[in-house]
Amino acid sequence: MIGPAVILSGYAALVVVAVVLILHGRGRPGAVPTAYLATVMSHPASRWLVLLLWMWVGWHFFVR
Amino acid sequence: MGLPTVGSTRPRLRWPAIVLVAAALGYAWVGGGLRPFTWPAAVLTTLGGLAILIPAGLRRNAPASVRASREALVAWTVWLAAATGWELWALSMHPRSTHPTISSLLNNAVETHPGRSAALLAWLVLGWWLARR
Repeated sequence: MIGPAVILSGYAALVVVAVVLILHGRGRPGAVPTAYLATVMSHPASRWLVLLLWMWVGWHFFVR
Repeated sequence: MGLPTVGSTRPRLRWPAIVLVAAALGYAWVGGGLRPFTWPAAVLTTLGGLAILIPAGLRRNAPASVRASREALVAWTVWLAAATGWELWALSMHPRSTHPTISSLLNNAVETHPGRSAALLAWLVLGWWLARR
């Protein structure tokens, strides 16, 4: 049976991987998360997708 | 004596910015006091969303100042897919108390008025930041 420890470990692993990616990208402007976001946001469709996702997050936490 | 200095570098008070910050703080405080599943919460969240989305829609897409490298694009896309997959997998399991999702973990933090207001403000600031990308 899968318990909360397994699921929480998965989230913790994701955080660790994100930190490693950020540290690995230090000093390289094209490797930081903001460059990834800037690239995604430079396309109209994906820009709207991100903005609508943001709107959904607000609805999810503050309305529903 | 008493004459304005031409070319003064003294920073001017930016009243529109001050008004916007005050409005955002007031919005977050009022919104943080509203309960979920109510019309006032739905209306206020929608208004906050539109306040960000409408200017974002009027803004023209700017080319990325720094483009992500191919390696970074792959790495962060894989990371996002893994995070989404893990969240959806947890969401599909029951009961929630033993299979927490990011939402259920954060719900504890947004149960109080100050916590909810801080989260609402963070959401608004994130939207404003995204809209300027």
